[in-house]
Amino acid sequence: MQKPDLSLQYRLMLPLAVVLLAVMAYPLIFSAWISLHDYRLTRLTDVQFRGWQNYLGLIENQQFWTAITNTMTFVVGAVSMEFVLGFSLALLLHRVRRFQNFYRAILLSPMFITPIAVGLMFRFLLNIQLGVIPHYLDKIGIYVDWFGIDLALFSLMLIDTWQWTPFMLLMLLAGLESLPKAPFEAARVDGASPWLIFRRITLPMMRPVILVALIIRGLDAFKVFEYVYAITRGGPGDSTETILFHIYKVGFRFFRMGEAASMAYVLIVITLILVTALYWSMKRR
Amino acid sequence: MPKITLENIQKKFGKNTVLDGIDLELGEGEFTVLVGPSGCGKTTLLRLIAGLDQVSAGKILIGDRDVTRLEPRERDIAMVFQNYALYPHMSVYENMSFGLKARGVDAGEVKRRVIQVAEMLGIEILLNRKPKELSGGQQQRVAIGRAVVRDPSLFLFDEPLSNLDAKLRTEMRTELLKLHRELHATTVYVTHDQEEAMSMGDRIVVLNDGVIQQRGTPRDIYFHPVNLLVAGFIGSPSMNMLHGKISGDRFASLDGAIVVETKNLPDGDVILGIRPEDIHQPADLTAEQHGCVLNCRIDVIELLGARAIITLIVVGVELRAVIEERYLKGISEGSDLIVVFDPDRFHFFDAVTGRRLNRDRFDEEQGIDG
Repeated sequence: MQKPDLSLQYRLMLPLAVVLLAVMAYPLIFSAWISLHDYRLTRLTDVQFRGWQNYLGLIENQQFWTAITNTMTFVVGAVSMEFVLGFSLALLLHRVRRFQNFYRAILLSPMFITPIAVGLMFRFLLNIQLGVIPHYLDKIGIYVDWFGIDLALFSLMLIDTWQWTPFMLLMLLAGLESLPKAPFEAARVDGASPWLIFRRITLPMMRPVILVALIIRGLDAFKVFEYVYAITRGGPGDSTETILFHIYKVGFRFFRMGEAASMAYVLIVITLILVTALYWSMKRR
Repeated sequence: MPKITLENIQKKFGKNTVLDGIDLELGEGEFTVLVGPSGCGKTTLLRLIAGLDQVSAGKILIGDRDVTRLEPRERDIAMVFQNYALYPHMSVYENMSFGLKARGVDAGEVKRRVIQVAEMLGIEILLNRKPKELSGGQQQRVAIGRAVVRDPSLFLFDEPLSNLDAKLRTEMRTELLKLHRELHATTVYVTHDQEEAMSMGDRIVVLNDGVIQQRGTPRDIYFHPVNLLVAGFIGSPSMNMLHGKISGDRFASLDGAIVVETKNLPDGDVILGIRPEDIHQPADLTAEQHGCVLNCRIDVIELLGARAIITLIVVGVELRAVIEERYLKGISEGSDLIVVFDPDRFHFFDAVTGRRLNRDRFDEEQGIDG
């Protein structure tokens, strides 16, 4: 038999490899290089090597840590709400057969709107002077400034929950529907109450799906930018300044690319550590 | 162990009637096998008894307790599923103890019972393993252990051996029977395998199209099938069926190959049923028993070991016979063979209704209409 021509398969992969190198590897390596330099868009002729100075400087950088804390709070808050709501809805919808496609379509629709549009929509809906929601809340005697210093970050979490709970629902519903029926029937015969079945059978069997859903949503929530950009621009004060928005500000508004790149790399490391920790903690059990 | 009474059970899925008018009493400590072809409703009936599905009409009593509308957990039953249905994330010990813990049995007692049952089934060394680390046979033992450990008033088995290989199936069959003798638990066992039904059941219930065709001991069912369906379903190889006519106390098959005298049977179109093992070599029967002698051609010989299944052709009609291996000497496929029948072992069925026509002592005792 003729030996297969291995060079052909490499030649076929070449165009894709070139594209990947151009759009992934080059920016990654270049940004890593930038992060080690005092690279300012306003002073491109005077780029100085700074070694780890950009990174070490972050330790003292109060704004950076505020942005990290805001982002963490946002991720934990939003993803938790999405998980609890999404799982509850999935458990409800899992059993209902009538008009299934209709309400699944309705429930999933927020997911298909572009986040910047969602941001703008809620900016007007929740605006203390113009918004429909504060207007009607005011009528029943409730006065809430959704984008005031105390509530702004929470409001962004609510908006994220509104838009992305459907994703959680979709993942968890698919997970529930793919579980084998027999262990549940065995548990019913074994004498388990519905609550015990949920706790000891449903939850453990759903663990892999829950893990994937949490990781995907968590990573996505880490990248929150559009709502901040469209609504609060990080304010009031720096109460909603998330890490991505902060990086954007430092890099594209203050043009300090070196510093911004080092933050981006720290963000990658933090994300990797969190994902790995979550993965192992779920897998070990 | 209480008896189980099913009264006029009906089950519909939409407009489709799956079970219709099932009346059945399962005696205390009895091993009842529900058998029938795929889709006959036997698993549905088992699920109704378990409470996993609700009856459309009728009543289910365990002892004197009406459990028709009760949840499975309130019925005090244990079930072994076809695919074992073990909890995949739990160890064997946790699988077996789950039901006891759910019922609030105290931890010490749970441990004692799980270990006792595990020893009985020879799975004590598997207690810390997860189901995916077990072979099919081991998983089946765990599933049985999980049922036995609860000491329920009723055991339900849904084709528990069908996923095992042939050798293991035979072994597990024997073990299940031993277990039943030890526990004397009222048991309902569903299978589509008539051989399993014959070898295991104290009583067999044959179902078809959601209706009970016949109930009785394995001997009753095998030797006195009440209709064509039961006759064709029970027995392997299945019964030979020959279309023919009775007129004036004489049966003649349509092809004219078999002509025998009959007694007290109505004239008309009938089907003659002959079990393959009732087709003999002339030396096997006394001259008085030779009701009918046939000269056949051997088409196919399937050697099973001590016995062989031979397919015979008589005037274009195929007959399957089971003969002992020693008779195979000197014969081969394509050669001629003389066989004899004992007409006392013939089964006559009405060609239209399929009901059995020839009545014997058994039929009289059972009150079966001819």
